[in-house]
Amino acid sequence: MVYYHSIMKIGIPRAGLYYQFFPLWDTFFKELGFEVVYSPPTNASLLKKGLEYAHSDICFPMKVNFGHVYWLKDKVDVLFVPRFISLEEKKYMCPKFMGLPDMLKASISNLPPLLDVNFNIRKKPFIRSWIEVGKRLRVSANKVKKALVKAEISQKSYQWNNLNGGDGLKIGIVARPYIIYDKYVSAELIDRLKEKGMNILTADNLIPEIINKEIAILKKPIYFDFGEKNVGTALHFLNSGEVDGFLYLISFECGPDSLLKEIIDDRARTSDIPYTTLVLDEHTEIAGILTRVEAFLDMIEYKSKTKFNL
Amino acid sequence: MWLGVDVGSVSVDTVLINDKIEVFKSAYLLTAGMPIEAIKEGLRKSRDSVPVLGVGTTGSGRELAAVLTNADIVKNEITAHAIAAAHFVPDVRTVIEIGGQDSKIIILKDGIPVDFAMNTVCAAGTGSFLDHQAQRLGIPIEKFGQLALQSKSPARIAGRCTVFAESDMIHKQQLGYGIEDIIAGLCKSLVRNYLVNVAKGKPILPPIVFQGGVASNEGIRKALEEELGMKVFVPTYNKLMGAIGAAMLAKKVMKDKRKTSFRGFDICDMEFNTQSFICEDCPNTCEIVKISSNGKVLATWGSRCGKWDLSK
Ligand code: SF4
Ligand code: SF4
Repeated sequence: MVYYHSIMKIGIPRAGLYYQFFPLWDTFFKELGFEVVYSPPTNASLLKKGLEYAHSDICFPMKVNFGHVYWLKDKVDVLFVPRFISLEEKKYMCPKFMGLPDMLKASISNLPPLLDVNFNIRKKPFIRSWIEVGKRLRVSANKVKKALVKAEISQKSYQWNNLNGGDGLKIGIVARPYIIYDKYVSAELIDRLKEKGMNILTADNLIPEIINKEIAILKKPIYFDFGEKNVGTALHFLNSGEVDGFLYLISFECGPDSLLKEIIDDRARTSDIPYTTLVLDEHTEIAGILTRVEAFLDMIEYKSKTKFNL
Repeated sequence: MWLGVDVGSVSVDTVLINDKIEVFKSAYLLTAGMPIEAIKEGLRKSRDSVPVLGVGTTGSGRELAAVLTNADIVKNEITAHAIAAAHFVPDVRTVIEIGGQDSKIIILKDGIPVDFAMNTVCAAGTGSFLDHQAQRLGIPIEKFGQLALQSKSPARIAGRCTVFAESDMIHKQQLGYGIEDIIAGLCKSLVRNYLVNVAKGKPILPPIVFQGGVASNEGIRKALEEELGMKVFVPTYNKLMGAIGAAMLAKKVMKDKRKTSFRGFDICDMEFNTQSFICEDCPNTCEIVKISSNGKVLATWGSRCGKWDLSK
């Protein structure tokens, strides 16, 4: 049975992998003629709901994710919360992504239907996952394929431009997309540094070959999605001197990043590129973050002068 | 003379230094939840008729101190501590700073900081841990260090967090351990906590400068030396190092600036009012704090978006 009522509203939480794939997702659903509703950028009251509904021992970004889903739940017909299992060959997403749809269903009542299709490249190519998404929305495979072509073009042509131009310091930032690009979570770090005239470089500004070259010399492959990308970027920063210094932003309870940090720390011991880790969670005081960032910038400044000339 | 003000979560330190970075006057005051009063009192105590040529502020309350004094430079406490340590011990490689609620490690090379870390969430490696336990044992914190030194076999106290340490300590007391052994055990557990949580993974090389309020505690110093197997140097003004660093920075910036913006010691007698309100302009609902004197707003802060900030 088909009802010709208003256009179906698809809710996309502005959290998690939205921050990496929004050009693709947005184009895809709009090409198919749906209305896409996004939750607003993370804010304090949205986070409060997340803290209320999420399990207390999951990581900060996932708590944020819960807040976004809560905000959307009564405003849309379906929610796009896929089960991300593996996005790259031989890699796995963090278990929290695999379990997200289930955790949501168990914690928040009265959710609209979830588009919780599996994305698992180890089992099937993404196109099949998208066809399944289409099927649940009663869209033909043909239409899905056409929309996907356009969506992929949007994704590829998106400019992750964080440079200011100018000859200010070049600061690298290494972090998962939902940490670095979520302004609330990252305490507006990119904007703050840009305001000071600095140029920001993230993994998204590097071509894959650069990252792969660094990864190739690691003793063991990294099994986490985003792991190689982040470690490769950090190692590139440490080895090439392309940046004046870099920051690694991680969430307090993040298992994968606490392991990956060891690899970066290890290499950093023999590099003279200033580097600092900032650990973020829902209790983080912005003032504390800024203190560390300031000290980090001082370190870069003093390095170029050597000796406090007092 | 140059004035340095360090406003931390537990104490306010003020210092006046001369040209040779000698401490001329100083004060160390507990904040007791009233930082403005503490800053005014600290300034009253270091008040002098000699002209102040520059003012620097540091610490977690550095912005507040800067507004009150109208400072020439505002600097984070990591840099301020590093600068002061490198002045007194020019070849310092490691600065260990343990304060009331914060602790940090700074690694230096050729007199400049090259790496640092601060405690993030846990208070188990800071002075408040000791204060709390001293209170529980009914021993004045000043006697803590001396008592710890008398211990022949420190009790092993699990120090992963204050809660565990406390229950472990009660257990050891019930087993009949002497108070000095328990205190020495607490010192060791604080040091281990610091090394695991704050100094984790950092290369600790000599010379080591140990500063901050907790460095006055001989028990901690001994425990630190034992744990590291190295001597640590506690500077004479261990409690004031942040403030000294801030004053040194003021001295430095005043090289290129003719006249200090310091409001003068009259601020000790000025009334400052703080008012707070909730901004409802977006869902962040920030708590905005406004500081004013004589009906004139000096500063506002607390907004996530910066819309209430006054340009300085
Ligand atoms: S990778 Fe880390 S931050 Fe991301 S969902 Fe997993 S635990 Fe959370
Ligand atoms: S101060 Fe800015 S961020 Fe905070 S509630 Fe008001 S408008 Fe929102």
